[in-house]
Amino acid sequence: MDKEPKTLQEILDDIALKTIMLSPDNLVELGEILSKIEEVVAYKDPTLPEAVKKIGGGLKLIIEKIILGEIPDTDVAYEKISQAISMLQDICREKDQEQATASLKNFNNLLKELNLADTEGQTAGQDDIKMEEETTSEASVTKSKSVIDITQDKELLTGFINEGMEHLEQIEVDILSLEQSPEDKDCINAIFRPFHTIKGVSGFLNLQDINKLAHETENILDRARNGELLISSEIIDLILDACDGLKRMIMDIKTALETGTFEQKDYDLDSFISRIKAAQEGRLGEEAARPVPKLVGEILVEKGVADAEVIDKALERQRDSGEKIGEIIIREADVKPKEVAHALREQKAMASIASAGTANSAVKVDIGKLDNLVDMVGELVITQSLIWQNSHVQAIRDQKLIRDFSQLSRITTELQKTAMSLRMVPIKQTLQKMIRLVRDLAKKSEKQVDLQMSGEDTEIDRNMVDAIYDPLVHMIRNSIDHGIEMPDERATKGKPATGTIWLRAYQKGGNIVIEIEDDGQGLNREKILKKAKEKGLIKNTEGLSTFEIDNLIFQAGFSTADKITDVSGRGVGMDVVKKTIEKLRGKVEIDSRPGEGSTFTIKVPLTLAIIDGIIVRVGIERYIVPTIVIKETIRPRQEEYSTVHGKGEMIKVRGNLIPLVRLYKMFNVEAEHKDPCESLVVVVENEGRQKCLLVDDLLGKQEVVIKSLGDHMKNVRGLAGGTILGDGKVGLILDINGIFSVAEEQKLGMMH
Amino acid sequence: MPADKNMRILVVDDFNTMRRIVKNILKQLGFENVGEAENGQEALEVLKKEKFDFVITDWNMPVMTGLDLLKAIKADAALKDLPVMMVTAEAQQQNIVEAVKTGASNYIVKPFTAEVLEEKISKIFK
Repeated sequence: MDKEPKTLQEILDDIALKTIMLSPDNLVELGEILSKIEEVVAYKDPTLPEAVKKIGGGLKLIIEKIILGEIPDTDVAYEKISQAISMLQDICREKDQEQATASLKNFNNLLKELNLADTEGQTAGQDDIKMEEETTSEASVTKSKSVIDITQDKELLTGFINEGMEHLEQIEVDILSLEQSPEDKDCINAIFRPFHTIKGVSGFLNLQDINKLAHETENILDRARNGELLISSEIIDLILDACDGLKRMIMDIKTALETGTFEQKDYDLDSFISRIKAAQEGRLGEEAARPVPKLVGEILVEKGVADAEVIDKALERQRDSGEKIGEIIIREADVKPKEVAHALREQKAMASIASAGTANSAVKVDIGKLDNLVDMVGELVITQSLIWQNSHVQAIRDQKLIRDFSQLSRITTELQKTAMSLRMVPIKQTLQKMIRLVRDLAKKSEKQVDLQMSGEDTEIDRNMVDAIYDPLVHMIRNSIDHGIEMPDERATKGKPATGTIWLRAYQKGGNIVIEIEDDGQGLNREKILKKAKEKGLIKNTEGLSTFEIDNLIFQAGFSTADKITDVSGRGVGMDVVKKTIEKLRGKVEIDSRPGEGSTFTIKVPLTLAIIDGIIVRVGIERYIVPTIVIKETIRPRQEEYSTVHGKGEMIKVRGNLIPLVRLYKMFNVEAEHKDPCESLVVVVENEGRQKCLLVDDLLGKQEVVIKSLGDHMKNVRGLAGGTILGDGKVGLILDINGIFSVAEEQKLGMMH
Repeated sequence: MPADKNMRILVVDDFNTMRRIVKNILKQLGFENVGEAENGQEALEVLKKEKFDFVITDWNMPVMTGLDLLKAIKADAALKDLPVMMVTAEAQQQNIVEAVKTGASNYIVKPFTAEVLEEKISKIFK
């Protein structure tokens, strides 16, 4: 691996020397020669006869075959290599075209003697030598038979069982992230590796079924890794099924080890493998996804319940009488009504799958383009309102113009709605992913859990769908791990052994609400308080409402699980859930009923592009307060205003003292009124706590299109963004969470 | 000169069971002086601290793959003469050629028997 540039002659002399010294089976030297030959092939010299490259390419092929153990008689091969190299030396010295051509001919003869040329359609003339995917040509690489007897090496088997299961479980965790980013190579590799390892070890342990299944699955993943195959949900299902299959097989070995008898089970690997093959060829989608609805008669024949003849007769009769085919079959053909009912149900199921597939004919559009469209439509609406408010336009009294203008507004409003709806997708897919999750988690924790879903058709912004997936997974995990009790424990409490998780989605105003309710044990408030004190999240426990206590679980660094379990845990806490949801301008709360269960409620806006807000005025500035956080608006009376020692200014609202935040102070603007009793306070709520925002006036309610403030204003706390108001001026959108933390930092003795 | 039975061998594999299998086979062949590492990174650290005569490494490992380990060994002046044998599960030929070009002393395809391993070792330590 010399770095200094050499002449071709020098490289060739080097190779010749190495070849003479070459001892058989020394792969290191072969490797060096191979690298040098590649240098020769890549050598740039226009005066060089083409034959040099061709012979070099052929040499490469021979050496690669020797390395791969595909040439039985290496001595002969070495001799040929020497000959070929001296040919090359000659050509380079003479640079004689004719001689070169003659040498190439000779060389091709050499290759033939080695059985390398022509037989595989390969001659030395090919520049790049393709290494065929010869998965079957392992012959020379010494395939061994069973190495370890299953009855003998218990220790190794036990190790394999434990380690294998661990890896398989990790796959299921990793696959969730693969589903999110199907093209992430690292992700695919993380899933590939366990299959690969299991394949390798099972080969040694002579566990053929496991070996075969792992091998096939590995192949798919390998192709996905190389970008030859796109990870689809079918493939994810396949991988999960393979995981389950491997787990089952491994558990069977465990049982075999424990009982001491090993019975060979038939796992029906073939059908699985053909599924894998189909998926690899991309046939899966066509085959599985869209069955054509069959006739009831066909189904019955297939099931072997009725003969084709009988059905034909019944069909004839149906044409004449107009009766239903099922009735005829039952009456005439001695088929049990139950069977016919089954067949009918099957047909219906197939039909619904088929229609679901065809009803939504859709166009795939890049989400960036949609975002742009929504933005532009937003601008259109604003510009239109600017024009309308222009005093010159307002002065026009022409009836037709006014009529036309209101028509234009109607159209733009409709356009805006349509543009928004383009990005809306049903939440169904996200919710359905939870089915598998619940099933697997329940199995893993040996609990019985039933998942009930409603509102799958609720639509939500496309950007939101992906974003709420992780939080949902976390909360479901939490419910199963910490909420639902073990079956026997539930029985002693008089609950059904199977716990239930309800997953509901519905729209409420401009928000999507997702509830995850379980009928488990609820939160242990004492434990939460203890933990919160330990972690320094709260100083004293007095004055906290049960709601506030429960919601402490969303604080950073909080985890009540005594130990990190396999199911939840893994270092990610509920605080991450909360942060994710709040980033979406939503909120998450837990409502717990000790002994009866808990309900997580996530509330997120329908879309991130628009916010439903109340425009408030402070001095000459206008701010938008998101409607979702507003509880009420009041004009306080003198006796309702007080200053509490150590806690600052308070307003008494319905008997509760709520801290006052003077917005003009926070944003450093000139307010019209400084006395709360002359202005208004807007009561807002965040994380179960309330504050009063002091404003001069309420200007109205409006849906506003959110604009980012740009990078240089990104770090201004208390502001979520800006919007262009009807008069063309900018209004700032308040970030309530930010305002709360700014206000709270100025006080001591509070949480956080 | 046949391979010295007392030579110190480092077995690198992320799967514990696999390391034990390789160790068992080496033991059958009379090599008992065997160390272990879980991945390329760990192996490299061990190799820089302790003296080994031979490395048997798996290919596909997290953190640092066998090929990267091989490259690192060959790039290290103190380690570059250390023989490395690659263990590979698939007969992925281009990979094997790549490894040999990088300086692998030999390779072995899983699953292998004691006899095959012995033969490969004897080819390396001639």
